Amino acid sequence: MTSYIQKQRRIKRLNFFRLGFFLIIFVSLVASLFVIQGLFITLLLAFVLSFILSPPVNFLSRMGLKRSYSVSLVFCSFFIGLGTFLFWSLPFLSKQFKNLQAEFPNYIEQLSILMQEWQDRLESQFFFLSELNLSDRFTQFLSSFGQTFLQDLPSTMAQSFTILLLAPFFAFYIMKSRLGLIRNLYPLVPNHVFEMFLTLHYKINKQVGVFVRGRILEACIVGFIIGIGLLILDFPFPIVLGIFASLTNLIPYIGPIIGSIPVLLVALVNDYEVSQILIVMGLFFFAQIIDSMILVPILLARIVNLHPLTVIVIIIAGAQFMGIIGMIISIPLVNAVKVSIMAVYQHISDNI
Amino acid sequence: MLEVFFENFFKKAEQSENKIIKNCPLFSKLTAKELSFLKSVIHHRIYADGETVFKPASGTGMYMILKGEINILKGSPESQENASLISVLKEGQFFGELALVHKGAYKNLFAQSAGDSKLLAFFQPDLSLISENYPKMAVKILSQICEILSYRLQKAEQKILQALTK
Repeated sequence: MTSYIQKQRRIKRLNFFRLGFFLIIFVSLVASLFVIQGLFITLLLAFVLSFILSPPVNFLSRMGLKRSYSVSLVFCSFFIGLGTFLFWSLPFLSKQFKNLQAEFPNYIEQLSILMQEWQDRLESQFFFLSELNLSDRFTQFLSSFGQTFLQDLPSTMAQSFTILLLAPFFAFYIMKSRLGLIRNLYPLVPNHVFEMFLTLHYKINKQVGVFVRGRILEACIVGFIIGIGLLILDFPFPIVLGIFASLTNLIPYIGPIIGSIPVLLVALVNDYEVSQILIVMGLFFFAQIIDSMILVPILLARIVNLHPLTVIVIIIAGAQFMGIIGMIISIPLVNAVKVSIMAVYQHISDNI
Repeated sequence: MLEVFFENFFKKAEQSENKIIKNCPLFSKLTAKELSFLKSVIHHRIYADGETVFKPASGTGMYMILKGEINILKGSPESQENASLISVLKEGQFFGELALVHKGAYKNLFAQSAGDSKLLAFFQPDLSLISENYPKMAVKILSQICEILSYRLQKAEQKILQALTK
């Protein structure tokens, strides 16, 4: 009788130490992600890459191809495809970028003239506005922002070169292990929480995978619609603006608005008529309608929904910590955290 | 000399693992390739003397005994008085297969390790993983579970019929 109680006590102690040990290792691994510079972004990119490429790899290995061969095959074809696409489109793209960079001061100047006109018109009706000196402030802000953004672009690209080079390596090994890297931690998880850990890992992996794939596909389709639409409308810099719109479309709610701002500015500076601007805006509106009426219900319906206010607060927090990248990645991260909290809560309430 | 000894030893351990997995009725229809994938999915768990493997009305997995003995008891693991021994499972036997399709299928039963034991464990998420990657393989496993279920149902019906005709 006492020996039974003693035994149970010993097991409880053992479990406590095992759990502590496991948590220390887990937390230090997570901490190392943030301490080692660039590792977090590299790993994140690698995970995104593996989430995108895992369906074809799974398909090939289901057909009977060896795992390592199917990973290599998919990787090679993906990067060859990407390479040829870049090779084909880079001269075109860089031309557009160079044009944009060259014409940027010109744009600022014309914008300030435009602003001045508007200001005069407005001030003639609302006299109190003259004290605010709106146009000067706006142009100052715009020119400084635009200059730094365009100037920093090459250097940030160079900085992220190592990240871009390392991420495919990480992704390759993540996918080759088939069951994921976290599985290597399984033997360390103590028995009494093992089932919860396994279930959680599976659920989170699945949800985040669906989310990332859905989001990227959605952004690509929206960017494609806008790029092609602008090309048809014979608007300047269609591809650059399309890529920008697809990137900002990754940010919920605010993203599409940010994505349409440069288009609006370009249209205003180039003296587009109101009807033409309306057509361009209509294109953006059309893309958003396709996005929210067709793409989101198909691609992202199964995702845990966050309240719109929560989403906005999260985006602001993400922007504060990590800038634009933070704005894009914060929502999937919080989604993963929410899924985990819900699963832990469910597990606890099931076992009381 | 020592190396040869260890090599054989490990080979033997792996052979017994393969044999146990193959002999489990759930996996008897799988091909060699599917078995090797199953082996990469299955978890090795080590339990201390008296440690609970699954609690009543919880648990999502089935276990095969690689080493040691497992007691199946009725009642609750919190105190010994309420628990009564139902059966003792030995090396090579398996238990908990219903939990694979029905979480917490064993409402009053729990499993406890008698002495230190090594188990091969296979859980619901693992089955889902297999069904996503190799649907045919999952169908084979599930149809075997169905067979076990129908066998048990048949037994239960026989017992009921016997009780009614008496």
